[in-house]
This record gives sequence, C-alpha cells and structure tokens, in this order.
Amino acid sequence: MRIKKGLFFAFAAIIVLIPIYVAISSENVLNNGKLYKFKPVARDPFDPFRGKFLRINYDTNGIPTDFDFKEGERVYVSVAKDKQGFAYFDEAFKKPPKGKDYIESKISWSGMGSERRLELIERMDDPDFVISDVDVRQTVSIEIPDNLGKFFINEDDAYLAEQVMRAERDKSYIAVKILNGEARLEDIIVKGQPLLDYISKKSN
Amino acid sequence: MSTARQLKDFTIKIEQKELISQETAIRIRRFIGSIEDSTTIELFMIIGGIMGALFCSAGIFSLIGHNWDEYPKYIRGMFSVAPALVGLYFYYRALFHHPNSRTWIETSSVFLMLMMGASIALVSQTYQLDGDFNKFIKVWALLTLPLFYFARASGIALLYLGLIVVLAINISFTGPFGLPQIGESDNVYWYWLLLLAFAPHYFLVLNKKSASQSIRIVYLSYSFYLSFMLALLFTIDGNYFLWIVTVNIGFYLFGKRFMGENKSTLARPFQWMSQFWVVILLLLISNKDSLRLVFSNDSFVNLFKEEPINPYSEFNLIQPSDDKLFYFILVMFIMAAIYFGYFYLRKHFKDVSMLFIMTPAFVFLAMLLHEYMLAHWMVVMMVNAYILFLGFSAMMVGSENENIGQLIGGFLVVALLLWIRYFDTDWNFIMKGLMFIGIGGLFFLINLMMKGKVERIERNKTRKDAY
Repeated sequence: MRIKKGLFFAFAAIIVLIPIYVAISSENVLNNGKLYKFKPVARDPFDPFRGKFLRINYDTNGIPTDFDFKEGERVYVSVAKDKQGFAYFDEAFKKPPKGKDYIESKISWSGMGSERRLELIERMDDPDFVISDVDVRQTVSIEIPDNLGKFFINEDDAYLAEQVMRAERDKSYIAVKILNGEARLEDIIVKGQPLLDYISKKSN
Repeated sequence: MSTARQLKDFTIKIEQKELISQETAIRIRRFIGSIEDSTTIELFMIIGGIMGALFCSAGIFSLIGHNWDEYPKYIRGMFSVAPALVGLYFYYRALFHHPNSRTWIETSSVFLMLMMGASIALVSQTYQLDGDFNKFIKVWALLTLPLFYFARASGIALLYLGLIVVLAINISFTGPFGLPQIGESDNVYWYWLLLLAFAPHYFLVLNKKSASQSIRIVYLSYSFYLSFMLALLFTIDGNYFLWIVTVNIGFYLFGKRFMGENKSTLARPFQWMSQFWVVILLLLISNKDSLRLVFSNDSFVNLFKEEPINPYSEFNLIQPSDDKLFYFILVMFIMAAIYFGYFYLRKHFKDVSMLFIMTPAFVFLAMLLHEYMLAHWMVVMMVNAYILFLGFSAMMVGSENENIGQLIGGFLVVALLLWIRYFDTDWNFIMKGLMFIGIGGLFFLINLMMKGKVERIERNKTRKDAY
C-alpha cells in the first residue's frame, strides 16, 4: 500500500507540475522577452476545448535563406524590425541563429517566391539595374509558428473583437514576446490600447 | 427478464401446483437469491458513472471555454491546476477508500483523464498557446497510461485509443466548409509505441485460462480493433489487401482462442469483424475488372518489376520504394508468425475454419499466379470458387454445430456472390444459365443429404416423447 501511495503521489506531482511549468515558463517569456509588433489579420473560430479564439495570420511568405529546405522541415527564422518598428521574419536558418531573436517553425513551401520573381522582372527593365544589388537568394514560406496563431477570447467579446480587428487593421498590432526561441502572444493592441480594453470602452 | 427472476417465477408455479411444499419453495427462492448475479447492475452503475463523468467534464470544458479574461493571467495560470487536483482527489478516494468498487475506479479514471486534459487546455488558453496539437496528445496519452495499471481501469480505453489514433492520422480542418481532411502523419510511430504500452493492460484483464471472456474484454477488444485497423491503414505504404487480410486472420485466431465460447456473436468481436472484412475484400476482387484494378495497384509483385506495365499511366502502379518493401517483408513475417503460431499451438484452437485462415496464403498465391502463370479469367474463377467454398463450408459447419448465425452467414455469402455474379458476368447466356443451374443443383444435393439427418432427429424426438 505504501508503494502504491508513493507511486500515486509521484504521478499526481507530474500531473500538477506540467501546467505549473507551462505557466511559469510563459510568465518568464512575457516578463523578460523582447517585444515585437506584428501586423495582424484575424477572424473568430471555435476550439472545442478552449472556447472562442481569434485566428491570427502573419506574413510568413518570401523569407530569404541560404539553405535548401524540404517541405515540412524544421526551420529557425530570425525576427527583425522594419523602419516603422513592425516586426517581420527576416531570414531562415537550419540551426538557431546566434545573437538574434528567432522562432521555430516548419517549412510550408520552398523556392523562389512569385513576388520576388515579379520584382526582379520589373526591375530588369530599369537601365540602372545591377543584379548584384538584388537579394537573389531563394525564399521559403513557413507555417505560423507555435503559440502565435490563436488569441483565446471571451465568447461575448469574440464577434466584436473580430469586427474591430477588421476595421482597425492598420491601427493595430500583435504584441509578441520572444526569449531564447520561445514566443508568447502577449496581447493585441488597437490604437495603443489592449484589445479587451478597447472593446469594453467601445461597447460602453 | 433475468434468469433468476424466471427461476423464482417457476418455483411459484410449481408451488401452486403443489409439486413442492411451500417450505421447499421458499428455500429454493432463498438459494436463487443468494447466487443471483449482480454483474448487470454493476455494469449499469459503471456506465452510469462514466456517463456522469463525461457530462461533468464536458461542462467543465465549457466553463473553461468562457475565457475568464477579467482575471489576471498569473491567477488563471495558477488556477489551471484546479481541474487536475479535483480529478486527483476523486482518483485518490477510489484508489485508497474504494479499491474494490469497479464503479469508483472506472468513473474516477475517466474523470481524471479528462481533467488532466482540462488543466493543459486551461493553461494553454491563458497563455495563448496555440501549440503543437500532436505534442498535446502525446503528453495527455502518456499521463493517461498509468491509469490502466494503477487500478486496471478499462473504461478510459476507448478515449485513450481514440486519442492516440490522432497521432497516426493527420487531421486538419482545412476542407471545404471546415470539413476535416485526413492524411498520413509524421507521428505514426508514437501511435504504435502508445498502443504497445496499452497492450499489457489488455493481457492482464484477459482470462487466459478460458475461451469465455467478460464484457470488459469484449469492450476492450472492440476499441482495440477499431483503433488498430484505422491506424494500420494510415501506416502501411501499399499492399493494403494482403495486410488487412493477414491481420484479420490474426484477430480471428486470437478471438477463437480466447473468446470462442462467448455466447452471443456480438460478444465475439474479433471473429465477426474479421470474417466480415475478409469476405468483403474477397468479394471486391471477385469481379474481373476490380481484380485487375486491385492487383495492378496493390499487388506486391509490382515491387519486383523493373519496368512499369504502362509507362503512360504510372500513377496506377506501385512505385517501388524501401518503405513499401519494408512493409511487404513485415507482412510476410506476420503471416508466417500467425501460421506458425496456429500450427504449433493447434490444440488450443477449437472450430477453426481452415479454409478461412488460409485466405492470406490464397491471396498471396492468387497475386503470384495472376502475374506469372494463369490467365486473368482463371484467377477470377479461382477467387469466386474460394468464396463459394467459404460460404458452403460455413453453412455445413453451422448446420452440424447447430449454429444458426454461422449457417445464415454462410448463406448470405453465397447469396451475395450469386447476386453480384448474376448481374456482372457477361458470359454467353447459355453458359451462365448452365453454371447457375449447376450451383443451384448442388444446393439441392446438399439438402437431400441433410434430409436423412433431419428424419433421424425427428425419429429420435418421437421416441423420447413416447417414454
């Protein structure tokens, strides 16, 4: 009986420690991670276990790389900021890049992107066009990284949130914290305020 | 009405007719009461308990789904262990306060399994963890495994086996109207590992000394069979026909060995489901066009061909690959192991249809003959004759053993074959007519043989009545 009790408590500890570990590691990323602002696209589907959520899409196409990737292969993508301060996926690597913030994902498509090709064709007519000035590396598309695709939300707010996201798309961004390759979706910011605050003010 | 109730009513009747005294009748009724079986009531309580646990869990999942975002993240994060703690509390009570109550064990196991999922769901919702769904399933399944061994709970088997099937099949809701799309998964090896980890539970529950099993093993067998077959189809890479037939013969023999004496056909899941599948597959290749299609797409002989049969439609052929070769060698090993196991331990198997268990060897042979020796129509005839013999032998054995189910099953196979062949055979009408009359005549001949037997039984009956 003592052995059985010991085994039971060991088992119980594992069960309890798993959510605690996830909570603590998430708090760590949210408190200590570097903030990145992504431009959003959203709609409100339903998850049978976790309720309503906004599906967040990112621009995951045309990421330049020096490596050959196969579809479904694991990829590490560095994250950088553009001139307006918005984040974008900068470059794809086979191993975690040193000295840069990165996220982990899978390759959904590999090869020269059509946008990049069109851009090249257009610029070729330009008399000042010099091929060495252009980034002619191949590009990849990636799947939306884990933990960034869904924003779980109260069912009463979901529909309004979706409308707000659609109407205020240019004035909103997704706040993502990244620490050592771990990413957490912190919040959705609309006109400088968290989405839920914005909605509650709007509905009042 | 239960047997005990019937017997009690019977004692009242014979007491009223004064065949036994009132005192004896009371003693008999008391005795019946003492040996009355409570299995059905217990089963009802277990099912009731599991249903209760399922509904409560669904309610808790819905409460979680509300997304209580008016509370700070760290509070919700810490609160996410609450469902697991509640589940653990009831499981603790079952293990250490009600260890002999199956209802407590089964109900609390189902509840704990679902609450573990609820805790993970709650923490992932709080921190917007979209996450890798397969990783979530793996963690959930691994945490569920000990529940099979702590108190040997079996009620969770269907949930567990259903859950791990997701690892073998890649389900995505990207189809039109959000309909699920299915495909091959990268996590298929995880499925087989988790199934292997479940298998000892099945063997611990199995009554190894008998060919009669409890409702618990029947339930586990249904869950196991369905999960196994579904995952198998998404694991093997070609040679589906040979695989399904071989594996089903394995199930059939296992069922014969351990469930052969279960009374109802439904309580012998491996037997009826394997026979059903094998007959359906054989009927599928009994037509000349479907046989050509199946053999050109799914026959192992394509693995050893250098040149494709038709270079303009390559998609019709098996493209040889190491994976396909591996699975072909594996199925050959399994077939050899099944036959070796059967012939080596033959005395443990009762009433096994030799013709039926030879089906994988027959299909293998048919594929070889079709490719290298016989004309197409000859193989078609061979398959039809095989099905006809299967049906005949089932009818004969069913009649000898007074097994109505088997007799009707055999009849259905023959009738189905006749029905399909009458409409899809494009022979000369005279030939077709003569063949059907010939087979019909065979039935009459069998009836003539049976007639003598019936007359003998009837004579014996009259003699008995005269005593």
